[in-house]
Amino acid sequence: MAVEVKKDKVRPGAAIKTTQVCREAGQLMKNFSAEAAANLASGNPVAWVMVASMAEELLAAMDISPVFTENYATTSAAFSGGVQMLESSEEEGYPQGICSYARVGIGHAILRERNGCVDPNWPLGGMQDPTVVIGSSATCEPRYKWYQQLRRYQKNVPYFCAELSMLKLQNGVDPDEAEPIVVKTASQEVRRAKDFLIKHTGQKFDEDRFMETILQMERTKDAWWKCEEIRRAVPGPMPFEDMIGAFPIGFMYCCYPESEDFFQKMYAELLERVEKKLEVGNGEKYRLLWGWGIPPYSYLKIFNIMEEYGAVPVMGTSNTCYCQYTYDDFDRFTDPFERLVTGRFRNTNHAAREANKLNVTGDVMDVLNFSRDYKCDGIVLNGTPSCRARTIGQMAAIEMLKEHSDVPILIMENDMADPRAVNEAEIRSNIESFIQVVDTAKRKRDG
Amino acid sequence: MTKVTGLARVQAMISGDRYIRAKDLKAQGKLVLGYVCCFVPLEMLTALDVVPIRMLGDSNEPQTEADKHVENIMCSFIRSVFDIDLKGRFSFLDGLVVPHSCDSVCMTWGLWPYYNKRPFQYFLNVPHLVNEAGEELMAEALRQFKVRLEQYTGKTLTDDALRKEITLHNKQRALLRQLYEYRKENGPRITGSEVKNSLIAVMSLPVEEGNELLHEILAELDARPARRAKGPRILVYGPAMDNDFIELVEECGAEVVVDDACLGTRFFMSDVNEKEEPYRALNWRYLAKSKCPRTYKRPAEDKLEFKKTYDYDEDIELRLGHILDYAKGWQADGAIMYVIRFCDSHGFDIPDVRDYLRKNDVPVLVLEGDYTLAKEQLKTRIQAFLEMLE
Repeated sequence: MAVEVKKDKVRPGAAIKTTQVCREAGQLMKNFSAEAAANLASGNPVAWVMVASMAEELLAAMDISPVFTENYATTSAAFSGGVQMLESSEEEGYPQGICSYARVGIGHAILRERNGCVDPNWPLGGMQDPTVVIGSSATCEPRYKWYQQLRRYQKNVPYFCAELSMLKLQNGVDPDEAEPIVVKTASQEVRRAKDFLIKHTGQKFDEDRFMETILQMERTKDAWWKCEEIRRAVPGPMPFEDMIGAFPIGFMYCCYPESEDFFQKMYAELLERVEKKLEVGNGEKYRLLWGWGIPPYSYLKIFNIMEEYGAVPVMGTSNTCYCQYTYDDFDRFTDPFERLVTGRFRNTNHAAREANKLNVTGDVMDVLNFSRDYKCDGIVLNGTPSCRARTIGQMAAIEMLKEHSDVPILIMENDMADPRAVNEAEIRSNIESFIQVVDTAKRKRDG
Repeated sequence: MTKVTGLARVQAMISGDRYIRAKDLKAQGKLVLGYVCCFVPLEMLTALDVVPIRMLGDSNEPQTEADKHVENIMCSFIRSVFDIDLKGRFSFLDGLVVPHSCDSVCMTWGLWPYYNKRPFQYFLNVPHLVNEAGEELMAEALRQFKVRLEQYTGKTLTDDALRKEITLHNKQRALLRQLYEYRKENGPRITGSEVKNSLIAVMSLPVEEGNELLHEILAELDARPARRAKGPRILVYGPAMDNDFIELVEECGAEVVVDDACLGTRFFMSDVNEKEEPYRALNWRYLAKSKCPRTYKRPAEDKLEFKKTYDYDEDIELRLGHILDYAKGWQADGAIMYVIRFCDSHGFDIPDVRDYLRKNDVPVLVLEGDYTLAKEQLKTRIQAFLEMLE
């Protein structure tokens, strides 16, 4: 049954969301940001941090407000406000080819130093000045090189960097072999981060409270995964653009009970939509998978364009919980540091064993599994030239995927946080052509 | 037939097939493994009688095979290596060792076994940080590497054999440092391009033969007459550098006297400590002593005694001080940075390196481009910079 899409007052490029709960996600994020601002105003510490730095739980347990700098870049992109920051970093000499999140973040620091203060007219009023900065080597090089560069402009802000580069394993590495040493060293790094935070913020650390925070995080992530699982239903109850808005809540603010409540509310709404067979947009004619690749945050309308053609992005592999977070053996972890790291390691490398057997990458394995489980008629991969970690391998992925699946694949190219790299006409043209291919393939498959 | 030696042999290898010797050895039954970057402990390979060959690109070869399989928003150097491997140029290799050096290398590793499966292909998981966790992970990486090498070769890697190879490779490093000493002369008896080619030749030979070649080159240089300097003395900085960039700078009238580059000082300036337990020594040398910007050095406040205020200048000295040492030690009049497009490690460091050198009275020209050079455009900018120096 087609549902009339409610036309909200939206920013150009912003996606129109389907679910009520995801329309409220923005307010929850604003509440978290306001808390950070209030904390800073009352002299309490604020930490700049990136996702997957294993710091979210520590910060929550120590009452230190996080400012997620990557999230700031995506939000700036969504508000089309990050361009002056991008330009400032490029004028300073940072090449245009490096991560656009970093260029926004560094540009923010440059302008902050130049102005002497944060400009309230910046997107979201700018980022609060940090008491400390916490980075890591997890995921990609820009994650530690970016924060290393912040020191040019924030000379007196203590900076901690954790060695977590093996949290996500490379192709061919056996996760069972790697887990013990990765858990051992990563746990040590989180302990070091804890000592650093105590020293530089004056906040107290209570190990019992830390464990409770981790348990809260696990509950949030399991609640999130439950929502992802129900999205297998036909018709799909929630399109990908909705989950993008919810992603920060499940990933960055996962330690707060409000986040678990959010996903429970989401599940209730999705269950209702499934029971009533409510469709997304103009109705679901085709089911698409947003395979790996960071979406263009300045133009999330890309998904509404797909929906105009009856193509619903029912699932995405890049902004998801990947799988059930907790494992049966988790109760044996009495050490919260080891529990935290083990959970994260297993979740991040959930597809590694299967991928190694097929001699494909973990990302390809996810695309294969999700496209099958979510009954997808087409797969969209999004290349972002300033992000090598999430782009290189997409062309090869087409070849790898074709050995195991005949679902059509589209590769698009734009940028996650640089609106100057987004061409709306090209996006529309790509999608239109792709839908024709998807339609032909579907007709052939359905006989 | 007269045996070609020294720089003539280097020239023959560069203009012909530099891998002829490696192919001969392979035909004789030796195991020959290719590697990329400066993070692979070659001593562990040669201790098992494996011949390591550094895989480099070809900047004159259009990347037609890579174009079919991998994006171009990555380092064009490693893309070139991948491209010529797909074209069969490295078909003589029994296997590959690819370290976790940078994102471009890492992501290409994900594809390599799929497109070109070899009997032995190994990802050496070198951590990024020089800290306690990094050192522990490196120790484990070396332990696992040893196990896999022993499985593959069917031999045991003994500590004694390893120590012997450490001495041999240190000897090579010492010979290369000796070679670089000639570049301190007012009119260096060896050009930057000759040095670059010599390095390429040495990396394409077994270590003992590489040492022999270096002895020949040094003997030739001893006999070469001194000459007048032809132009400003330049330090070059950047990744790769096995393309014609150094030639280009010299064509513009400069003397390239020293470098901070992957195909340069980063390969040989530090020794493996022969007095230390060998794996600990390898760990320290290949991780902590790395000068590549992909390696994150211990920041100032991470020392045992936490400082209340952060010292940015101390951290810059730790990361970049060696570049200034080279510039001063080799009396460079200026520095030219050539950063390959989409190289995150070097790209992020551009402002820091540029400003640090300028603050210390070393003029800097910053260039960004591809592995394949846009020569005319670069020439214009280099010539203008050199004129300014003069």
